[in-house]
Amino acid sequence: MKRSSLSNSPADRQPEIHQILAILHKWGIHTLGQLAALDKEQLGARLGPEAIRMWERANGQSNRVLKLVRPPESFEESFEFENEIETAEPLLFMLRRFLEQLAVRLSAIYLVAKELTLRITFAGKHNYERVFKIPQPTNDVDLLFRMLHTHLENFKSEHPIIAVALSAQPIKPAREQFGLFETTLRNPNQLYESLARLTAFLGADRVGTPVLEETHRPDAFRMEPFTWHGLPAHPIDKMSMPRPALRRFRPAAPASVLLDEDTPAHVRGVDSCGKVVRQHGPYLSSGNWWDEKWWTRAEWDLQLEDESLIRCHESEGTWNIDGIYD
Amino acid sequence: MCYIELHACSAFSFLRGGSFPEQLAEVAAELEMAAMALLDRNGIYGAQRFSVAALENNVRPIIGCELSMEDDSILPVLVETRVGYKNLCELLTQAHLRSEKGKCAARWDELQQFAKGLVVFLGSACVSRAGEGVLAIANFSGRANSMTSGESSERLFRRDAETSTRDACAPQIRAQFLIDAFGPENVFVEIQRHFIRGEDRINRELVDLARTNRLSILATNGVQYAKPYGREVLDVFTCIREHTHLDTAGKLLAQNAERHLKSDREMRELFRDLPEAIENTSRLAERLTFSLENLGYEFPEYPVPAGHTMDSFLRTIVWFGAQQRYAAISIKVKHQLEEELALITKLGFAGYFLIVWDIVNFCREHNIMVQGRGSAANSAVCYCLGITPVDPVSNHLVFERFLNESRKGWPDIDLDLP
Repeated sequence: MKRSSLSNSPADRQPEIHQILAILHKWGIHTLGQLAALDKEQLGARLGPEAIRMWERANGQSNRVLKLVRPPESFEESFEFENEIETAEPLLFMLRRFLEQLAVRLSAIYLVAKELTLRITFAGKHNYERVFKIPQPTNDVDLLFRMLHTHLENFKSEHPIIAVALSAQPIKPAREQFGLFETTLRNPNQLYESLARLTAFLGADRVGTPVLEETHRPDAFRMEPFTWHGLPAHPIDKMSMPRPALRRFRPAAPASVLLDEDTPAHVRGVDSCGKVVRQHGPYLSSGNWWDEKWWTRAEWDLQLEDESLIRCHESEGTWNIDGIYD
Repeated sequence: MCYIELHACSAFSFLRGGSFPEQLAEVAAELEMAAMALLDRNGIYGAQRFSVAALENNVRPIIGCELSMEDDSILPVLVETRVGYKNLCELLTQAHLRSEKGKCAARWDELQQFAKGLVVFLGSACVSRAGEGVLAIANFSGRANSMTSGESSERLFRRDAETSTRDACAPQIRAQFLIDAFGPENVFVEIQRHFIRGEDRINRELVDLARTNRLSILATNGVQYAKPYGREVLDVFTCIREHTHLDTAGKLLAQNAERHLKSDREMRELFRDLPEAIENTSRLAERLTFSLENLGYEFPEYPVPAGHTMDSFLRTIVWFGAQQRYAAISIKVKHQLEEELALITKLGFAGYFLIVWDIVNFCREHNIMVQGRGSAANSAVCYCLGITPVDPVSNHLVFERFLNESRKGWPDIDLDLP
């Protein structure tokens, strides 16, 4: 049933219609009037049911119901300042007004904001855009305003502001019931606000969740934005051979290493110090030769005279102890 | 006995090698290597260029290839004799014919058929599947003990392949299979050291495997580029091959730049605990006498009428053609034709001239325009056969420019066709 109805869709009939039109042109039928003047039954017998449909349309005998298409509702407020502004107060004033209007409009149709997009236009005609993801969608004006305020507290620009716009992405409010032992954040928005404050204070690259990078560089990681629901677990290679646990020092502890014929003979670090009695290495690795993050290192596993087993590496002339094997 | 690199691949290993064969040959010469082997992936495409360049640089070229096997493992193969070269070519042809373009997979069960004249390496790439690295070798001890006495390795291998692909990778089973197929003197356990964490354990397992089966150990560097900076080219090639870019390729890229050609001193230092692994490279290289110069190629025979040999038939049609071409055959023409025919007979090229003559006749019969050109125009035989339209005798053209006794290889008669 579904298949047959799909196959009759206008898109599927396009080749057939084109074919009929080509035949009609060969017959010398070039206008709708000429088509309408043809005999319906004769036309159907020669060109099939699709030609009959075309004939009916040419004669005004078929109806096509118009469908009402509503444009998607936009939740955006914007304002162009008469005079260029150079302080945050007028901007914050406008933003608070925008939020109030957006909250009213969203509440009227039982929606909440899940994302705010702030666009600031400067006198130099360049724009600044920032998207605020709202951890727990809400229409709480105070909370949303605090989010914007926190961000703008440390915002600086060389040019005065001439226009501002704020748009909200609506979503249906979540109705969620947690299980007895299921925990959730008591106040996700407060957490988000705290993170925003920390980001403003420390920088975006120093706040978030560390994720190991797929590279030969040992212990390399990047910061990803914090998510409460957690990142997918790193697959554990169950087939790999058991290895001794390495207690890593983060950051690696600086050390001075005395070499004997290019192999470490004595190590002096904060926690590890002594004569090297056995060594394995070097294990050489390098990468990012194509950019300024170029790195190279030579790792050694060393056994010291006090029987401690350490991993250390030399990179660009400096030695560091990476950790101690348990 | 100096170290000989017996496992190097060039840019003819599509996107797996960072240097041209000529660069490898030049660097081998710089390192005073007496010989070097080129093993490109699933083909011997670079062998000709490598052989020419190596001989120019006084390095003896050794030919081989890396065979991709049906279970994604890699089997490095070296050619020892002309029969081995024929077998390797046949093996590659079969593998390519039944695989889709760009993917080649030789079958383990067909190796025995083509084993004569070949030497194989049993290394970490052979006993583990691509992407799994050393995992398969971890099963080594268990599998070694599971082999019952009296059961042939081939049967065991088949049984194993049927039950589990993973188990089929067990090094002991694979070693025994290769020994049965190629003979113990033609199987070498290959050890590579690239300063990478974890390779020591694999190498220890491989040394144990060699000792258990009384196989010789061979040091190679698994060369993928001539000089260390070739690693950068290889990384870019890897990105192209894997459809990614440098910033996201991660561990697909090389860990370091150690897969370059290394000198005898460097390799001896690297394998100071296994000196025999270095010595064996020279010993094996001495055995591998095959070169592309000695292919024993024979031109296809041209079918001639009963009672004729190719030489006599050529002579007949040349004289017949001479009567058509010349109003009267002068002594000079006669002398020239006799001289040319004698040389053609001596060099055994009569069939070649007859085949070209046949092609020209076919074209004329089918109204296809054809014209011989180039140095062939210096030959009165070609003129009489109707291959070229200019009389070389009256124009005082020098036949030796076309063909002479000291010339190596086949004469080339160029034909212009529309």
